[in-house]
Amino acid sequence: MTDGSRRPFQPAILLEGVTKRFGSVVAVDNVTLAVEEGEFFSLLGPSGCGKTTLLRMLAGFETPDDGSVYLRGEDVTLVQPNKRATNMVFQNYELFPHMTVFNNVAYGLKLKKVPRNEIGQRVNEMLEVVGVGGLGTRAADQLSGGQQQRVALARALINRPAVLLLDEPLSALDVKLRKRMQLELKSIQHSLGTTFVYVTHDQEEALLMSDRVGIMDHGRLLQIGAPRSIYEQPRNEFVADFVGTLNDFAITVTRTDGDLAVAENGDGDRIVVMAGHSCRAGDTLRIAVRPERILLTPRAEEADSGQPGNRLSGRVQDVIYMGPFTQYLVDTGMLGRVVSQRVSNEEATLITPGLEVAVTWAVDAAFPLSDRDPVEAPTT
Amino acid sequence: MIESVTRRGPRRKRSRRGTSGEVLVAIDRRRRVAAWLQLFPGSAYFTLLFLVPLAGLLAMSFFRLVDFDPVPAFVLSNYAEVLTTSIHVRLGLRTIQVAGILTVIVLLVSFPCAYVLNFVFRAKRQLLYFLILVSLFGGYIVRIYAWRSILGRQGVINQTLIGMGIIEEPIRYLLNSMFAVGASLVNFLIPLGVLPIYAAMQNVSPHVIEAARDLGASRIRAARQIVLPLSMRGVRAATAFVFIATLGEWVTPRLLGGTKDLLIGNRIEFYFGQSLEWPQGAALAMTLMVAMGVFAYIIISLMKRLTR
Repeated sequence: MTDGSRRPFQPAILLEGVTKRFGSVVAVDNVTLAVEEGEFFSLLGPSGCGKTTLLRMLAGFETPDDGSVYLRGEDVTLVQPNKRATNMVFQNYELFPHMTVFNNVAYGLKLKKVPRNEIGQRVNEMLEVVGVGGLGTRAADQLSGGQQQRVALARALINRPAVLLLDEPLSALDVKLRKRMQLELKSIQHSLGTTFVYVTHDQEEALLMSDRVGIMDHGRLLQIGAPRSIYEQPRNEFVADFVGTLNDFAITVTRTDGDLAVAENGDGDRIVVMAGHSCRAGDTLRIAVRPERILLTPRAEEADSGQPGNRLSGRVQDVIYMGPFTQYLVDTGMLGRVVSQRVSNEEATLITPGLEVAVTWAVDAAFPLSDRDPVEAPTT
Repeated sequence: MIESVTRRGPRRKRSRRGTSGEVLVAIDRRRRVAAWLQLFPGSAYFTLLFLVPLAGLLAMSFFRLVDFDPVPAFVLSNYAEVLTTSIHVRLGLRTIQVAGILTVIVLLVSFPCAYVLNFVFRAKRQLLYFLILVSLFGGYIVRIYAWRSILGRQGVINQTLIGMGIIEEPIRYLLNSMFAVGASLVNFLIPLGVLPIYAAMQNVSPHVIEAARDLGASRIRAARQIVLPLSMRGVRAATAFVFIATLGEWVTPRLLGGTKDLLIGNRIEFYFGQSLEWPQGAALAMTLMVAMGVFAYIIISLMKRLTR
């Protein structure tokens, strides 16, 4: 499959300007992407954003209208799925219902004419790795959802693919099982060192499992980065909004102080933003702050209002208890509704609807927002 | 009907301990009555128009023939005649052979046809399915005369070949031959083969084929190792349809075959329509029916074993 001219340091996957249209719909729009060997890479986006189509082009089920797909440096754009060193875990598992678990997992090896005793050994090993050892003789249609998921994973991994493609493999499982499988998948990936390309619409899943995440919308790859950079430095509004919840403000600058732009309303409310030198009084800025970075202090306990940071006064409208976290909807005079999220501890119970509070956040907690335009996608 | 049967088990168990048990039993009873009512039109039709005449035929097979008039009696001589007349045995064996060959041909055409219909032309499959059904609308006799005009001396094939200068005289053995019988029957039987296989393929997810392709299977291998076993129920039904339809065939050989291309059905028709030996014809028909049943059973259980 790989030719002799394979260079070291080839990325496992390289997509160059890949475009796929279905009729007049552009499902994947000029995507360029490199995935490194051993990486856990997630494609994250809402349904219909093109992430599954992109995955299917990697598997060979769809052929790009434009651009090229390279697998370990080899151009596989037009190579049939059965001739590619990729394997896929399907959304609904798609086990062969007329076969036993063992025969499902052994299928790929039988096609490769691997000797019988080696097949037996490798299948049983792989069933152990994915945690369904001993189920080999069970019929594939007599398994629970979680077991089917594991068998589908074993059936793909046993072929030792250059890249494992996973199409929302956990979406059909219940929440508890999903959380457990997320960690297990991650540890299996880590111990086998296989490159994973993982498609999901669940931002939490993508952030917790991946080495890097690519955010897609309307067929375009908007941003690629490590989970932390995606979450903390989103390049545009769509990414910021899709990954986590967001407070999104438009402020009018009243004065500048070096790099800082300040907006004040005369009632003691003040917003300070790192804006750079080009900012002038009178400019409008769009900024965003994550709810968990916003602090609330009961107005009665407010120590010193003379600090130079952000400070808004507001009144708590609603308290939403979410288990480990509690969300507060605060009505502020200057910015309208602000959402704050705190850990549900003793202190959190003191803030009740109707309470007058001071709303604050660190200056570096806010980031500027650009419009929905995609940015050039770098590979790191 | 099936639903009500399968649901009865757990319902009963629950009804024993629950306070609403009696209500559930009443619902259960009503459901059973409803199931029988739903079966009534079909079973009445089947009884009056199939089972009753069949019983008449069975009785007739034991009658005695007096001056071309079947007289009620209970004699086994008709059956003895069936089994000892060499032409019956010869026609019977030939019919089975023809039915077997046609079944294989029809399955070899129908399976790829159903596959393409269901998996390749997925968006337009309803229309194509309808077009296949349309070929059944044409009618039996119309189809046979269509083949006559294709294969005859002045037919499309001979005229074309003569026009192209490939032959000088029309080929005679196109018509009134086993080839003509077979061609016409295959044409008639293909929809009967495609329908059940296509229906069975509805339950096969296209993604299962992709899974097999992804694991290294070629298209043909995936069709054979994944789609074929998963639609075996339809293939079995198609086999039974085609095989049994051919065994009972007599019009096509009469109109398209030569004197040596008759099937067992023609012999039955001979007894009823020409020699007027009805009890003899009835005995042959009954024997053929039993033989068909045995053959269908053997073939279907063989296929079951092959796909396990």
